[in-house]
Amino acid sequence: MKLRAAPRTSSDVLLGRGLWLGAAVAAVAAVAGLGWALGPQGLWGPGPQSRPHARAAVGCSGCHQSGASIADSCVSCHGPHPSARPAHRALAQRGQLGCATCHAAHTADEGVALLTDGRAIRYGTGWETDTGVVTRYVAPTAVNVPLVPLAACTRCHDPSRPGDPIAACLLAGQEGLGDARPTVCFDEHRPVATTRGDRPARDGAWEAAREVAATVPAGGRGRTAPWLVGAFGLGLVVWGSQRALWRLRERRRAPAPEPVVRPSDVVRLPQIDTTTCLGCYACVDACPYDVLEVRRFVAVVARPDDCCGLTLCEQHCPNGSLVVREGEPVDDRPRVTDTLESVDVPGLYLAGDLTGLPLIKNAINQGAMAVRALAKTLPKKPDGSSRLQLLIVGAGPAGISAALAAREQGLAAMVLEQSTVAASIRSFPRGKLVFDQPLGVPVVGELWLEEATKEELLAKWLRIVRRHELRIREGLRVTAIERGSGGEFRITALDPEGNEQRFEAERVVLASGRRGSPRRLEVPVDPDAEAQVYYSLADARSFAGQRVLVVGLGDSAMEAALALGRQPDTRVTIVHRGDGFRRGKARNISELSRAVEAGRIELRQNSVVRRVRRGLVEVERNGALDELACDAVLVQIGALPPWSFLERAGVRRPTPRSSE
Amino acid sequence: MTEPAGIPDEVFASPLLRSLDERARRDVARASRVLELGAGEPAYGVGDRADTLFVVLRGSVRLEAVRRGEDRASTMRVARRGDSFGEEATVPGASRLLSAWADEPATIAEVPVTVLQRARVRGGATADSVERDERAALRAAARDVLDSSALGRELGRDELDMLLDRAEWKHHRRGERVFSQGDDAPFALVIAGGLLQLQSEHDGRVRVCGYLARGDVAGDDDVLAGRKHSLSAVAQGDLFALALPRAALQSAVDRCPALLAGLGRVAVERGEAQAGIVGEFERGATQHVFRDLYRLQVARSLLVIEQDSCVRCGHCAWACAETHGESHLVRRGDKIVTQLSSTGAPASLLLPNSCQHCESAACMVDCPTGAIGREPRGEVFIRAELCTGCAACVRACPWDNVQMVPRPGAPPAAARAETAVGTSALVAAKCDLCRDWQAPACVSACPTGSILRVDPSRDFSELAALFHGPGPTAGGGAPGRTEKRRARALTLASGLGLVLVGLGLGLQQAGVVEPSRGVGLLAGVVALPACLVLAGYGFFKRGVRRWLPRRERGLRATLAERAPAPRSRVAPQLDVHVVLGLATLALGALHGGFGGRPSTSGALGLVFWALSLTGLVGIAAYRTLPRWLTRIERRGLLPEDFPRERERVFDRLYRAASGKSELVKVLAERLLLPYARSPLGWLGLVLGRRTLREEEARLHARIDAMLEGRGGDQREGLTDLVRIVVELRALPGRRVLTLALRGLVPVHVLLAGMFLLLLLLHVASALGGGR
Repeated sequence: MKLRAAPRTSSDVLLGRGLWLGAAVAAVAAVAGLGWALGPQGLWGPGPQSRPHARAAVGCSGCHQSGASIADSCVSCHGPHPSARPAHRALAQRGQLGCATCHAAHTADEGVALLTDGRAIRYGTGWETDTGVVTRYVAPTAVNVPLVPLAACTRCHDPSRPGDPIAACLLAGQEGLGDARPTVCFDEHRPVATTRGDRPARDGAWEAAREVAATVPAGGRGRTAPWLVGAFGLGLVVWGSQRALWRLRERRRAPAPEPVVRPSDVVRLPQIDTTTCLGCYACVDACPYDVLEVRRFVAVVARPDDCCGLTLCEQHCPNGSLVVREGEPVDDRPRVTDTLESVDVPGLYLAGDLTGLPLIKNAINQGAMAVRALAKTLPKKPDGSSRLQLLIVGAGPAGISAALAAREQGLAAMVLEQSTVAASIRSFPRGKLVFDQPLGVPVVGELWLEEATKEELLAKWLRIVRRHELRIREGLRVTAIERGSGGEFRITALDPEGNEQRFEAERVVLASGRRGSPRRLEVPVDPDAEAQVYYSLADARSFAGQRVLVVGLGDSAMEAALALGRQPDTRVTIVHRGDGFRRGKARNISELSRAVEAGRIELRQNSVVRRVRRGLVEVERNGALDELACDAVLVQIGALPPWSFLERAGVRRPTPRSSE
Repeated sequence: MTEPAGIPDEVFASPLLRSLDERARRDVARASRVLELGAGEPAYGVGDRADTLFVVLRGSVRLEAVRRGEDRASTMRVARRGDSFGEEATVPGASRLLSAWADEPATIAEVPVTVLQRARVRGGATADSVERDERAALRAAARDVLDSSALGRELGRDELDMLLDRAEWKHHRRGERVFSQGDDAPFALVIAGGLLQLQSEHDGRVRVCGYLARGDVAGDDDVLAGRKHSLSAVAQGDLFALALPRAALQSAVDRCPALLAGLGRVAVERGEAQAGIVGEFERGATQHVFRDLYRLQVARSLLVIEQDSCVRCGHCAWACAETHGESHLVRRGDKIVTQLSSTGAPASLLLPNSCQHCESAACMVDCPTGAIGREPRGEVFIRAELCTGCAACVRACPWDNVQMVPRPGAPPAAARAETAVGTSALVAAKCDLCRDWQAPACVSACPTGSILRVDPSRDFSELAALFHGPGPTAGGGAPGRTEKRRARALTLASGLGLVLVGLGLGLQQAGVVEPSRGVGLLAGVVALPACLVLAGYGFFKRGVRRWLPRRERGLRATLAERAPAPRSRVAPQLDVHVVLGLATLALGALHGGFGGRPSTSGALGLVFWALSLTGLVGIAAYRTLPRWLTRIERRGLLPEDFPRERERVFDRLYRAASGKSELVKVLAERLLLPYARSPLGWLGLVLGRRTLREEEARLHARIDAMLEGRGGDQREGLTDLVRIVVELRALPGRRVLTLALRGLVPVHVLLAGMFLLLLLLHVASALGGGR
């Protein structure tokens, strides 16, 4: 319920969040990037200028003068130097070939700048790179040698055509560049060179430019693309981070409710003011143990025995009609602190059924909580120490969960288990459904399945144990736990052959459960009838065709009776001290009621077993003694904390508070 | 009908109200009203919602019903001065069993039953008197139930009374098993409310045999024959029924032998009618509808999303969140395949988490403060100011369609005063069909028009046949034809657009057209406003809060008639966007070619082409991917659900494999697991255009070929495993396709942002420089 109460905004709603901002950032970044790449001139004009024009600060008006053609502008600086080739010259005279045809100032104006220190710079429109090539020819003054890209020539020439003269102007090995291949016939404007009379210098510069063009490929075209991609990526990041921020805020707004870990020390029961109760079911939903019910529009405490003393119902009541009142202290639970550490033995932690809080789900929570708490109290592990940091007794739900938490915390831990992993689950009736928690108590760790049969849960746990390589030693029964002088624990265990094994650990988690000590039937049992009294039901199928008497009416008893009732020809009779259902899950109760109604199970209330004889059980009801014929008696009247074991570990029974 | 003020004390003289104390009378009087009926004027009709009971103050009221198996109405009783009627309302969620109309001009008092019941318990009345009153009311209701059922026809007054003495009310929650095949049959059930599914079970496989509703009798044949139950019965919704013990039924049959034949005939007729419909559709692909028939039976305005055209953009949920603060629509849930009456074509429909405005709304019944109300047109809504945040409705809704959300305008939890009524931090919220607006936001904002609000019992062909009998489906095929025409026009426009783009690009690259003069310049100039209109599409649909037209308050109550089905407002705009986008692409190609020069216009060109590419890919994806995705999904999932879903399916796989025969385990390990884990397996599934069901058949064929007929008896559980591994194999495909569909829009929007600013620069420099 609590989990449902805070809906996570679905990705549908979040998909567009921050998209405007992302788009705006991408747009601004794109323009900024272009400004960087092209310069302000290029940003506002048709494109950037190459190095010589930029250095000479030609500007727009340098070339673009009103009333004058571009060619005239070129000549005004560079002087007239028409082409040396007759065909080109003829084209130029017809106006079909101008300066800009080969030297497109904003798009393809490439070349090599030879500096006086011998360095050569390859430049293009909007870009220049220091080639690192040191030419043999060192120019007396810095010169620029323009390179015309093949693209300018291919309007007329075709380098692939045999006999086309342009092939002679291209360098070998640069076919991959395509139209960007530089042409290296520098004799286009020879007359200009001869008039100036610096022939040797010119030849040297040409040679050096050829050398540079051969080693450094052109790279000028499309330099804007990386900037655009970058800007787009930035937009994506902004958009993504907006959504991540929202998720973070949402998680902060709705903190996960604390899982229940510790039962209360005193008996508590809810009290309901019937004149103000709305009958809204809020408390019924909040209660994890189905204690409350709504009858005639008002909540009532239907199964007081199951009340764990938590105040969830009180917290959920919308108008304060329900108050939890305190009663007698509970005296058959070991006392633990809020972190599940034993009050009597510091460093010893308890988890699972031992603490008196039922349900597998709680055991899982407690195992993890105890280990997380104790990890904070542990000193940093000294290097080379072989001593265990944590020893876990019992590999049930609490033990496995503790071992998983220890792995998560990086502790050196080991689990000792007297029989096999999850033996308590194995002993459940075959096919038992394990689940049913109406409240959304968050489950720590990964052990929980939403709804599963015993077999499914067991399979999942065994998978987890294997996957995480948990150190679990089966068949070791812990006989003693002592505290050493340094605060460490010395644990003694017996293996199946009866050999003693010793362990040392800094902390111990006791998660051995109560299964080992079921509450016994305190009536005379004839010696020859002892074999027909059972305290656990492993597989109902083994009782097929028999007459079975089930003693008790708790969840375990009801589930066992139902499982037995499903077997062919099995006659099941439930013997129960009280009248009506005082405890148990609503689902079990309704299923059992139906089975009783349909005649599949007989329910004898207000009845007490007086004696078990071979093939017979004496049952007293309202003073009258009945003899019921039966082949087996299944006793399911709860379990006791294993006090003898606990006391050996130093945990003392709490004395009732009134005598303190 | 007129309404004089005040409730006369006379009302409280009625046997049902006599035990109320002063406080309770005040509460009841405040909630009740007096009605004047002219002669022949009805108080209510059969099937109306029953939540009030009536006391006659003057005149008389005749109660009639058509009994099961009859075709004429017969008078059940006449209520005169001081009598009460309409007690069936004491059964929660009930609808009227009889129709009531004034024999002569009558004055009647109408008392809301929930108020009465609560007042009775809260007041100082003793437990005994409360129980007595309630028993009396229930007995009156039981009489009406029996009288209007098939039993009532054959039985006389005395026999009916005798049965009534022995009858007992039973209530079963949704999903509860009422009786099981092979159980003893101690009593028969006369159903007063809800839906009961009869099914036979063999080896854990369930076969639905029929449905029983109000007025039907269940299990009577087995009871009378003294047999064990031959079928199982499961309550599909909250079920209220009268249990008639065997002895009572037997003695009734002994006294009226005709009863047996009558009951038998009704059962046979009903069975045949249903078997025809359910059976026929079960053979086809539409059996999904019957998986949760109750849901579809009670839904009055069910939100469905057509999966074959839904592009999973989530605009529906987003628009809902925009208008209500929190989205009341979560786009995940079950999928059904059914035939729509309007188009006659089978459609894959997603039933997302959104209120379906049930006829007998469980949330409404369970609300302790009456905060949940209903509009005359059927919209169920929550009054936040009355909500105590108790979440009873959240619990009551079987489909999780009510959520708790922070109370609007509430101070943070820490600053809140101690719990007092009405100030809880959370309130319940759910879809109210945007009752303050003229049309639901989700429907209006859907860019593909895939969201429909339907009344399943009318709009789904097979349900219409089941509930209202077979007949010509309403509506004709008009919407289907328009839909097809629209699709064809769009395809044509896309083709034409692409040809134009090619032409423009060719002309530009050949140097025939230049951007700065003539046709090229003209293309650029024309493209500019087109670009702005294209961008406007995005701005418009995001502003749903502003353009969604509000409904006038006063108008709402008077609109008793059904408004025409709301249509999407954004869908036509998307069509325009697509067509205009293609045209702009052609113009852009003509104006600027490929671009790519190191200049602003070059950069603009690059972005333009990237933007167009995402647009073109988007058109293609929107046309094809939803269909592909629908083929390989069983449930609707959001992208964030996939990791968990994978885990869930794996859990299911291990569960399905545990406890199976050695053969199945070996098969699972050698064939099925590698099959499920194959990294690119989904690609084959998607490109092979196979549905999950076809893929299952293929896998079964593969297994059969491997086994060559061996292991016949060890194959138990194999079908389940195959189902699961096929789902697992499809899962990455669903992820990729969902991502592909949803990833395009953000990319397109980001590029559009860049494009617009660059376009601005380009225009500025073109105008400023003139070059």
